[in-house]
Amino acid sequence: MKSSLTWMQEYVDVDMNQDPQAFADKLTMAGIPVEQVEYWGRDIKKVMTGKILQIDRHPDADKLVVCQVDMGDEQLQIVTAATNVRVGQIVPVAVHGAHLPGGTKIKRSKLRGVLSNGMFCSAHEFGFDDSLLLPEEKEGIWILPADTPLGVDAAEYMQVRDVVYEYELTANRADCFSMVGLSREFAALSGKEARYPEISVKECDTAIDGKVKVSIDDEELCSRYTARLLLNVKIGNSPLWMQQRLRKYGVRPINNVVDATNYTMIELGIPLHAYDYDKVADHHLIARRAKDGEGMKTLDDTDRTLTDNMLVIADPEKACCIAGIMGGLDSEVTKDTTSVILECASFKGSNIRHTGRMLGLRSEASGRFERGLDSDSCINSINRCAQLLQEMGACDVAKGIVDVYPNKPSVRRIAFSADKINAFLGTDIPEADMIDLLERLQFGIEKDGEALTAVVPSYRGDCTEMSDIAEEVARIYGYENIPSTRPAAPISKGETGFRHEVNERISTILSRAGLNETVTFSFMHPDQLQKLLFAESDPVCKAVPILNPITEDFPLMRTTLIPTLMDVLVRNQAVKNASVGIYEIAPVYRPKQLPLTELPEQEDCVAGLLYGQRTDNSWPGKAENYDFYDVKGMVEAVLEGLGIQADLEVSDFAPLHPGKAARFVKDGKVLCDFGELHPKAMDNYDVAGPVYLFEMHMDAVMPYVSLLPDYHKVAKFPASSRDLAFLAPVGTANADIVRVIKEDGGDYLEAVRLFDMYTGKQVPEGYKSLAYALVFRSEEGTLTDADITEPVNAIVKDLEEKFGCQLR
Amino acid sequence: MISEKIEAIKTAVMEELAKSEHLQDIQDIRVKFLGKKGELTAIMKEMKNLSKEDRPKVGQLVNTARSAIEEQLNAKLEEVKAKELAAKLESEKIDITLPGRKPVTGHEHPLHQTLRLMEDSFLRMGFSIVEGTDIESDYYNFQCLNLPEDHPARDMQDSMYITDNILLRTHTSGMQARTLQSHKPNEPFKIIAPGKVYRCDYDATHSPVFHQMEGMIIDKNIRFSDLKGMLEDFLRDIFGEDTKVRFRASYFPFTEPSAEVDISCVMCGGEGCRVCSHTGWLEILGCGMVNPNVLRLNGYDPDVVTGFAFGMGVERIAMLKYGIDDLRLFYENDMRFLNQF
Repeated sequence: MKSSLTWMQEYVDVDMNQDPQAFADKLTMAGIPVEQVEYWGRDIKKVMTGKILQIDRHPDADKLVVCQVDMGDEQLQIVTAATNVRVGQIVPVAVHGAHLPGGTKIKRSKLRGVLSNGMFCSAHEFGFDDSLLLPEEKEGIWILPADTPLGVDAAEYMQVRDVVYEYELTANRADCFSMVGLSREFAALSGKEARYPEISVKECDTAIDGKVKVSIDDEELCSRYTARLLLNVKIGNSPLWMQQRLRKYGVRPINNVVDATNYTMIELGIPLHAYDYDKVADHHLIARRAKDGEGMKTLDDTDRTLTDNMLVIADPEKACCIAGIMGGLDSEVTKDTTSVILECASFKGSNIRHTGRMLGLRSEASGRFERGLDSDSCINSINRCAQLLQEMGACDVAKGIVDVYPNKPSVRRIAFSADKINAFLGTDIPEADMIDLLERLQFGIEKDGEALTAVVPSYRGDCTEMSDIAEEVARIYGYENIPSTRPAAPISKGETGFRHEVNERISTILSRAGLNETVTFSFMHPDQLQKLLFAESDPVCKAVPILNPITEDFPLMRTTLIPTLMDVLVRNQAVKNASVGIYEIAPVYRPKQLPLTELPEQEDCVAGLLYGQRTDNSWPGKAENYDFYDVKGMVEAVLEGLGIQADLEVSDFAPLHPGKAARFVKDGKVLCDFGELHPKAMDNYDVAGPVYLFEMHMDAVMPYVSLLPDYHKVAKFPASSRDLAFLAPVGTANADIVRVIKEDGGDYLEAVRLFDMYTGKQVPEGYKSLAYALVFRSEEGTLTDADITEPVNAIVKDLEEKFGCQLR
Repeated sequence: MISEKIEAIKTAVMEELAKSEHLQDIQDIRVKFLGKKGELTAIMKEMKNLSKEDRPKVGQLVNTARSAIEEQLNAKLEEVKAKELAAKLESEKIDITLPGRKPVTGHEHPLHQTLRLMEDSFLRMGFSIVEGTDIESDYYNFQCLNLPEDHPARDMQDSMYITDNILLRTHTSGMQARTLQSHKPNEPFKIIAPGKVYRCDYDATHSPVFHQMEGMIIDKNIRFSDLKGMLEDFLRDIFGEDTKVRFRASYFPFTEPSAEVDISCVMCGGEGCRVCSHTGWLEILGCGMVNPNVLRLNGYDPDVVTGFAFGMGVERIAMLKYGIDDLRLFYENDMRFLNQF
């Protein structure tokens, strides 16, 4: 919506001396957001009107002509290249010293040796772009009306100078999509009175009765239909003032009938439509649903196929108009039209929006209908339009209106009191001020002691209860004038929630361990699962599909975080980031059945990816590559941080190298899979070095989480240590040896730590050397050698018998 | 005779000390003159040849000389030690400009860090965190929030649907309805609902997945002025004490009256710059008094309790907080980006 401030003067006294931006800000703060303030003609100076008296060829240039121009009090010679100038025309002349938009200054100068005292201007130089101009105005010099006085300021005379507000109105304020609607806001905010235009139609003797028939078939979609008949129509241009007002709104003048309907729509907010009377069969208009598949050609020369969810205005033979959206080509008003049926009707907003969306069609009119319009205003609007056309001599207006209005809505009344509103807003606004402010917005106020009733104007469909009245009071009183307070309610305790706390703990552990946290989209593509070697039968492949995905790349809700982490790796490789250590904590979505009949399960996952170097090659450290034991260590650190002890197993997680895949399980549930990416998957992603991954399933983990540390007393007595080195057959698992050491270590064994693993020189083929540090301690006293010898001997013996380990 | 000898020894000691530079030299001098076979000791040994009368006199002379020599030796010792320490310190000097050994640490995502700041601020004000699911029913996402079936915000181009009745939540407001319904009617509460939300918008300034934090407080006598006070506290918590906050009248279906909240531009402090489109203000959140219909739809009585609700984009706050000018950076997860937070 746009409004010209000079036009606004008709409805409210706008103070044209105030800073237009300051008042725009006031409107914005009150919920009538002004997006932009346009200053029309502000930069135009000394562009005067002049009449061309004589045109001569330029002696030295084929493309130039030399014009003698009557400027009223003087005669000027102007040289121009324009080809549309003729003797007798009145044109805008930028004389010596003139300013044009964009900072251009005009000076007297010689053009190919001939003096020119300025230049002729086109309509573009006044700020009009092609979309606002009549065809003949688009090319060459702007030819002004023949009755234009000479030697006057052209921008002033042509009514260009103005300030125009462009609004970004909210969906609830349908009433503000008009000059009169906005004038009420102007009035309320500036303490002035708003004036409604004086509407009276001079009708001719011919009556509409019997000449136009209207019926409403679908009262839900069309709640009111009014029609007037215009006779002796003379199609032509509308007057300059109307054209210029339309242009400043952003509408191109077309002809007087169309312009008058547009003008009325902008002024009063209700769209109108004009039909060529002679092209409407039986002169009978019917508001009905289209038949499924029914076709019609709209004004934009496009064939449309309609459905029975769409409302049309039809004659008994054919659809003439898609109601509220666009007219049909067949019944269009043309230059040969002599009689017009003028329509002003009320259509259901949601239906207009639906139809517009289905057809991909939106118009000034449909935009207004979509927001919901005041059906009470139809009569005023149709009368205003008829009045304007009659006054400009474009037609006679037949006597009477056809008005079909089956269900007139009742007037809405809202009970309130100043105390209640003040209690709700936290304000102390006197009752009289509230009443005054509401009355300026044209609410009726009925007073019965403390109890007040607001009578809601018909165009304020958004106001239904006291909180709406409170809003009107608050926004006109000014949100900035409402104090800032704290609730009087008792203090409450803010709870984080356990799940949230656990996720925060995990994030802290992993980021401290050197990984960067990522945030990725919750989508995935089946191809990604294939690249990661998931079998089609894998539960991971059962994912929730999106009906209207944002792009073809994201058709599914993710069931695993691994694909998006791989994408992050690929993207980082593309920008030559050599190392990537990342984790993400995010939900995955598992349908209980497909298609969904209920919400899917949502489970938090924690996944990580390690690639490249743990530390880079910079002194005093040296480069160290990530390996399997890094990913294992990360997972162990998380589980330890959550107070969980779990069993280690070989994992069959599809994306992992089968020989380098493990998982932690507890009570038969998989807590976390981890390992090295399968070489085939590496090929699929075209990554060079090894990639290490883990994915933890929080639904399995959560029942075991304890965020309290498992505290033990600090020991009083010294420990005794023994280092034992074994030659173990290569296939022997560390975990098996450690288990035997723990079993045989006795009550005093406090800790076992592998401190060296070695193969090579001095170790026979088929063996590896493993060295363990054993720590023994008693809480009762200092241990002697004898206390330790027995368990150590048992360990050595057992390891030899069970695994063939030899003590070195 | 003896006294001359003693004087000669003292002189000799001084001469030798003057030449000595190392601890060992001093030690050698000590042995040479004061040691068991030293020259001064030799004089003491000769005392037995002296007369009884002379002995004490000579003894005193020798002792005095000994003390004097000791003193000189010690003084020299200190001097040499200090010199040697200075030399040692000088020789051990390292290049302190060589890089330090930094512990390797990772970085939490800036959106996570921003969200935590926001959560902490509201937790301090007594709000509790509630989190729903990303996939939500039409009922909770729209219907319970006064967004009737034919509301423009429900258009297909705005939301991603799974079925006709199940969609990716377009805001975390569904948790408002769920929280209202999970309480006894008219029971007061204060919640914030952070989380991922989804819209069908994907370009330089829109991400189909983004983060929101909404909040709601319900109690007896909650006023519009409380909404102003609490949100001003929050915004100053996040953007600094000097932040100016303004409330503009606006419209949301779930609140009445509604407001858009602006803060003074974090880049220019309100002077006007490119970031704030030369207005000095930045739009930061939407809020309002809970629409009575929302209360009614979820079993509360607007005549008994009132409340306010608010919602804001986490990305926007993070961008303003850190001065990030491209939304897409959050989702690209470039290590060079993440390493900075």
